[in-house]
Amino acid sequence: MRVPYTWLKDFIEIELTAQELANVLTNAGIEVEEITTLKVDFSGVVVAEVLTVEKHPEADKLFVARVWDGVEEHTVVAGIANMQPGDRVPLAKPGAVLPGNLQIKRARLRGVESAGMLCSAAELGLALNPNAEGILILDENTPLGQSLAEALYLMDPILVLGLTPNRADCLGLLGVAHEVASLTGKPVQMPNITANILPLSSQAPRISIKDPKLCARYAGLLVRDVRIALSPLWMQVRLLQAGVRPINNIVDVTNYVMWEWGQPLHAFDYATLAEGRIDVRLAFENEFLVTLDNVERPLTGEMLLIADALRPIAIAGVMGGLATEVTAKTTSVLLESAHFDPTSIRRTGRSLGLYSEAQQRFEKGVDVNGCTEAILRASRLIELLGIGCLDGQVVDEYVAPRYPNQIRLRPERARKLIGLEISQLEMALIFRRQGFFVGEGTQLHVTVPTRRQDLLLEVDLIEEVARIHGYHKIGSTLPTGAMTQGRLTDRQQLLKKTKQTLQSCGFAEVINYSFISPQDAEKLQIPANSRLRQAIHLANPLSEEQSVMRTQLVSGLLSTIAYNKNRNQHDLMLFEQGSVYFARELPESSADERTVLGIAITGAFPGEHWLQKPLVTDFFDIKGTVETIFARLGSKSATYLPAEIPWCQPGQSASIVLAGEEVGWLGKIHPDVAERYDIDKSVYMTELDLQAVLSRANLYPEYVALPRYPAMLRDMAIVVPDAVSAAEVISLIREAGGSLVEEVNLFDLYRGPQIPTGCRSLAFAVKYRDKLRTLSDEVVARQHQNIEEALAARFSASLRR
Amino acid sequence: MQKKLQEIHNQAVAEIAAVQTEDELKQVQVRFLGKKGEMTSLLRGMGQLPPEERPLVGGLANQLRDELTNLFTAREEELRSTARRKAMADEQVDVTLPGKPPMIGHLHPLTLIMDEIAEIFLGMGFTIKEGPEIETEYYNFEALNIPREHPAREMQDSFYIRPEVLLRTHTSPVQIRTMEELAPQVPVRIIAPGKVYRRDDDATHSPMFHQVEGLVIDRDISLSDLKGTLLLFARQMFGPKQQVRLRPSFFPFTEPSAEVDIACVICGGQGCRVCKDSGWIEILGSGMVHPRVLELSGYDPEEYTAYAFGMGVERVAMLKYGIGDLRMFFSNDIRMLRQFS
Repeated sequence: MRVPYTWLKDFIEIELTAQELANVLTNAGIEVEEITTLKVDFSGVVVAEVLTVEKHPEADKLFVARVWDGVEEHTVVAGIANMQPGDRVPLAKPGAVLPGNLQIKRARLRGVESAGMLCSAAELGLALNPNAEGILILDENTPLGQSLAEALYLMDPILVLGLTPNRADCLGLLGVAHEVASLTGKPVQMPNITANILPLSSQAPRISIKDPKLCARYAGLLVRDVRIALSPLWMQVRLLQAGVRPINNIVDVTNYVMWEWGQPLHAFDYATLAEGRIDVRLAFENEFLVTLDNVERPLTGEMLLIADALRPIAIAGVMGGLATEVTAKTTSVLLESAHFDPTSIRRTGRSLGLYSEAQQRFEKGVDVNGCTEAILRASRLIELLGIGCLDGQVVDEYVAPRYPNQIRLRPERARKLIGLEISQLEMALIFRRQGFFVGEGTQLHVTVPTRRQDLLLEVDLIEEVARIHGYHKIGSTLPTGAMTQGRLTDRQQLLKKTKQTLQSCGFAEVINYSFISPQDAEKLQIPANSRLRQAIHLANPLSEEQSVMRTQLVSGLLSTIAYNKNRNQHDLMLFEQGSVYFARELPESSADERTVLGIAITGAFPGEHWLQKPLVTDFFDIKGTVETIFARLGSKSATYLPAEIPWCQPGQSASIVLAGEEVGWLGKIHPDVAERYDIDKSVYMTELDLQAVLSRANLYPEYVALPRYPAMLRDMAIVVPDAVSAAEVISLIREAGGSLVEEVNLFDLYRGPQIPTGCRSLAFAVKYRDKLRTLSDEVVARQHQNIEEALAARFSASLRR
Repeated sequence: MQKKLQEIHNQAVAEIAAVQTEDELKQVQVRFLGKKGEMTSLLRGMGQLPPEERPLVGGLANQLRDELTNLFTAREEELRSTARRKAMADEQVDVTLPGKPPMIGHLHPLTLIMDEIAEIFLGMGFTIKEGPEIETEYYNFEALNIPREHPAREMQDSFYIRPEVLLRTHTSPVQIRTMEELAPQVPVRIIAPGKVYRRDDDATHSPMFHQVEGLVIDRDISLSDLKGTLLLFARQMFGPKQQVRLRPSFFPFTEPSAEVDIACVICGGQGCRVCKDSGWIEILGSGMVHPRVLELSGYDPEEYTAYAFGMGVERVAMLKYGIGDLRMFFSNDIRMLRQFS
């Protein structure tokens, strides 16, 4: 809402500067976003009166005018002669600058010296007098000799309000004036709405509201002997300051009144209305209306219409029809001041893609009890401007009256909720200044006029008290009452610990959008029957690329790798902890959201260094990371089973099983998949279902007493067929070695000339310890031999010595 | 014999002085003083001396041996320290060469900010609540006093899954879920950080972003309590001299409502481009929980009052780290991430 400062002052005395007023309003919640002015792109232009206009003696198309600027006379040459002696016109004197940096100089034109030039609105860069050619003729009383910008109030400040949606009342200057009144204590001076109404010349318009739910009130007034012309400049300037384009005097009056009262008005060319009838009804299916913007609009049964006896003539509250538009030929006008249902207007506007100033006001809520005042104000202005005669009384159909609310306010409740000492008297005063009736006893009974539709409950009045009194007067206290303990839950601590673990291992955390492309499932070659295909689709995505809720973190991490690769960052250790979303069958419950952890490694680490060469990462980097996480979370005994993971390279992928439950996977991304993400390097990844992992985690490590007896280390190297996994061998070592085996450490893996093809040599360090006594060489030797025999028996393993 | 002893001694002294390594010195020591060494062999011949000479020669032998032992020890010390000095000289490094950095990772700046916010409120006795990102209209709108026809419920502003189900547009639904869970227990002091979604994507809007919601319910909670809490927060987050300003505003789920500004962190309140010369920067929306919201979720608004606030994490992070572009957060450019440790 643009509030021209001088216009506002018509309604209330303001002793503050525009900036001071802006601060006061902002602090009261009526945010002033900026203070601006109309764009004035000229200087040195003054108001002058035309004395004579004559043809140029030497040129057919030129004229010579003598003008008087209140001090001296000037002779200027003009190219057009739409001005008459006595007219006031803008004179750009020598030295003036017009838009486009046009410098005005004394010039001799065909033998006549021109002391400057007379200007049109266009030459001044002003959107005044639309479609009118020629020199801008100023209003009669424009002060002579004054600078044009000053004389037309062009430099007056305009306060631009950023209103919250509940303050529709401030979409009119009078509403703003009431607000200022409550803040400054000055009274509001209502504009004059008395007009001389003539007896009805013919039949009164017949107004009929067919749908009282959507139209509570419809007031109409006939104006005859209408003389369509341009509005006076003062009105045009004010409209421009408001951001409204001047059109013609009647339309300008309706807009002018809308700006004052917040009540949109519409003017129909009455002669075009069949039978002088106004029906307010819903559209029939298949009805059409050509609107003011010359677009034929199909109407639907939910749209509220204004119709005459035959056809639609306007989309209620949204846009008028072209056929009934006020034009230069119009001689009689029907003014409309109505109240329409906000929701209906909003829906209609949205479905037609329209958003007019009138529509905005109807949507946010216009005061139903302001309809007649607004139409009377328009009549007053029409009379004032002498552009028509008021024909009969206002025809007012008010089918669903609304009455002011009376709301109880307990002063003590207000004080407690705000946390501020403020007297009952002060509270009452806050409301009275706004023109509310206040009944006083131990409580206040506040009658709220219908223009303030945001005040419905006691708590709304409490806000009003706090707001007007000033939030800045509220002190700072802290909640008292029972102590509470602030602590992360176990789950939250574990999640945090997981992130911290990865951070301390050198990983960088990324956050990707939760929505991905449906193409990602294809790129990752996820099988059709996979759970990962049970994705949730957005009904109204911003784009196809962001239309599906992710069921995995792989695609996001791969995209991140590609993004960084394109910026020459090839060595990456990344992780993301976030939700994935699965569609669930039951409609009642929301989706199945699971917290997962994705980790990706690619490139070589650590970075290039003069002391050491970086090592190219491999499968065991990602596996070691997973093992570290489990170790940190106290989740013991994860097993890794070779598994076909669709997006992983066969033979380098495994599923991760924790206490019998599959909790994730790890592996090398399939080169085909990587290629689809424009990655040509090896990428190793894992994804863990944190819900499952954390349920088996231990936040608190269990202390084991330090051993009292020494351990003995024995090495063992065996040759086993490739088909035998390291895990199987280790598990047999533990089994055969019994409780004395404390640790089994693989320290070497070897293939080579001495080893038969299809086999490999595994070397282990086995640590023996007896918790109760010092071990003897014999005992250890016996156990070691047991193990060797068991390995030989089970895996046809041969020992290397 | 005495003469012989003296000769051995002299020879040993000469050799001790001549050796250059500890190993050579050991060999010399063995040769002279070892079990089969020259001194020992010579003294074995003591028995053949006349008894009256024995004490004299014995005394001399002991004296010479002690002398030699001392010489050996001294020389050994000397050689060792020479050797160490040389070794150290060999190990001299160019201390200006770059060091070997241990690998250290980086938490996302938004995580750092959310952790910091959480820490501040945990210290004030708040707990952390979480809720689903895919929400029902009831929790996201209705229970928050945002009726069906409210403009905020425009389909175009939210991501819908199907009618009634959408991606939450704010963290406020967690307020409702918490109240339903705890009502009518008091005090309630929670924050709820998390991802939220709005159908908007331009230079200043991201379709996904993060919020932290706060809710306190008790008897006699007031607007000044809200102000005090947020002042404390602002000072912890942005420095001990921070000021907060409450400005009246409107949210359907709070009444009275307030927008909260902090003194501009860029200019310290003097006025600059970031704060548009106002000296203040808006960081969050807040207010006293609307009685209808309390009532719907099981708290009697006559008995209990509550405040709530919601802040944008990206906004706080941008202010705190001086990041100018919102979209930077979700680019995951490693060069940006590496700046946060």
